[in-house]
Amino acid sequence: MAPIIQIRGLSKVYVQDVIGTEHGRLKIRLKDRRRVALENLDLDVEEGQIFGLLGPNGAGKTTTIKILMGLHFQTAGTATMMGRPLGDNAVKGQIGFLPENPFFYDYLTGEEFLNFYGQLYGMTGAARRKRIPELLDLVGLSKAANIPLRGYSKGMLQRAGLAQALLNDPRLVILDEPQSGLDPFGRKEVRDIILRLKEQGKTVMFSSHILADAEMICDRVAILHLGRLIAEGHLSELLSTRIDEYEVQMRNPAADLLAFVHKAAHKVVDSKGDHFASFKAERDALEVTRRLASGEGTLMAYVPRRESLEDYFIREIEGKRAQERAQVGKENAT
Amino acid sequence: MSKIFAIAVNTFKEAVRNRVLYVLLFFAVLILLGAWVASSLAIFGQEKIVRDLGVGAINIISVLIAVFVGVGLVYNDLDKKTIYTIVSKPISRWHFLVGKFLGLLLTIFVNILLMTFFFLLVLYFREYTKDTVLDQLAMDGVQGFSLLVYYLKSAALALAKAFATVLTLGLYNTPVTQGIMEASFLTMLEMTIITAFAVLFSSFSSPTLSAFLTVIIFLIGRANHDLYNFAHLLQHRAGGVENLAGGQFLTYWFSIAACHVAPNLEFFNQREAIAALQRPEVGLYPILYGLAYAAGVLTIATVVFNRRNFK
Repeated sequence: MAPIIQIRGLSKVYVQDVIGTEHGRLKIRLKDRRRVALENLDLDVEEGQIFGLLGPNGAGKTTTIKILMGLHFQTAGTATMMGRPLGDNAVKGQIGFLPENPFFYDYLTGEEFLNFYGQLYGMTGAARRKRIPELLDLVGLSKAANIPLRGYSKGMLQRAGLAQALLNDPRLVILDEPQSGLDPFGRKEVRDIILRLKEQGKTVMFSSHILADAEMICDRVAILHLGRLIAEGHLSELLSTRIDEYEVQMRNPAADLLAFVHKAAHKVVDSKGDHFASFKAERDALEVTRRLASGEGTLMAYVPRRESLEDYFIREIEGKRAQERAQVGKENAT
Repeated sequence: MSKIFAIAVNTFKEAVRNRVLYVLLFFAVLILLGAWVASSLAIFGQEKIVRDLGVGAINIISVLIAVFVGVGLVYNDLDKKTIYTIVSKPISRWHFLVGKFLGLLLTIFVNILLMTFFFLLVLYFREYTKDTVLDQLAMDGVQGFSLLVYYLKSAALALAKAFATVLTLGLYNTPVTQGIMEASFLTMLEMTIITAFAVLFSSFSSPTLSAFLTVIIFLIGRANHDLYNFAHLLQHRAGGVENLAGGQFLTYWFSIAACHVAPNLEFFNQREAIAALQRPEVGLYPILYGLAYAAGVLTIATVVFNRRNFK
């Protein structure tokens, strides 16, 4: 089956204005006006997946999404969604989109706001009357339906934004930093909604820099850095299956055992009788658990730790930065 | 079409929440009342003063609404990024622009009708309370409470007549208000062009620059005949374009270019006819000209807007 989103050689170069402002000051730029935001990006998103677009600030995540949604035009390359070129209204009717830090007409009440967007989707009055209360309930805004958006908190606005993105029962949902500015409860709610969308067979593409959340729900991720794709694939492919370290948590260990722990572990944290140790070698960790089991203390937890997405992300980005520094150093030397 | 309508209605809701609109309407009421007061100070030509000032006030306040409310509408959506969630829906960018234009136009039309209604009210009430009538009442011994009742009755009648004139779009009118509805209709046509320019400028520049450019277009449009005549006077004096000296040559071509690029708003100016208590001729030509010109400007706005990256 053809991917629901297919991106080939997508590039975006911004040319800054000659006269502009920087940090509130007028600035005249005669050179270095070009800024590469995206460089030769190839990406496929398969139907039914949760796809995470990850990367630090300025990586090109939002630029990619803006191009897909027809808000920006690419400098080079092509992209299709549902097999059709970008900007096709029939395709846009099957997409739900939530931009980063969305701003809406704040004089509209929650219900009026969704009604307006329902009209833009071409929904009939009857369809809107049925769908709007369902969505307000889904995002937990039923009680705030008649309050103007200017009275909403940031989290409520984000949920209202999510509701407008789901109005048309979309086949593809694109969310730009949907968890930005939300508290842990709000983040969990967004995660649950994304997982529920997947259960309904929908495709979700979202950008994020909250890696723990991405790791929890994404089927595939793409990692961007300075406009370039540095890794893409299933999480199981990207993250090494190798166990990185073994964590042992113990209570009241014998003095001998504690001395061994301090010698063998690469990290030990002592706190009021509880001791937390990290071992690189499995045999050392197992030796500690065996001695704890034989009465030299109490074993509280034993956790073999695999590389997390965050570890992978930092390793990849740091690697790229080191390469760039080396490249610059080499150029300076010549 | 329903999507354009939805955007237009939403734009109207947005515009009527703009405080600038109410400040301008307040000034309109002040000017219209001022016209009445000013006319009572004049020795002769009172009718002319009231009508001239009234029609002029409606016109100028309409331009100010188009400029100060209009230029911010598209810009605010771009600046606050509201546009992200709108153009990502199954609509084209021109739907958005035309919806904004129609919403703003609806706001201006409603305000023109409100101002016209108030002006008609002033004119009808003034007719009931003009000096000759009051003198006659005094001779008949009407005074005190009876005079107050007469004023209240006049106010009620003026209100009813003003309603009737506006609701029948000028079909019901009396010699006192003759031509006022036609003048308002011509102002609406003129505002159709000015609003299209406000939307065009607002789609690519800041509100301040947009307001400046829209006012310039209005001024050149109003001075269109004069600019044209001025250019030909220069040419005539020099004995031909080829004889014009450097500065004058530039002035000549600037004037010619300006009056060809800017709309000729004199088509919609019938203040003299109305002041002279004549009914202005609203032919087909001003209607076609106004609509075609606005359509042309909106087309340019769409072309500009279609190529934009939204920041």
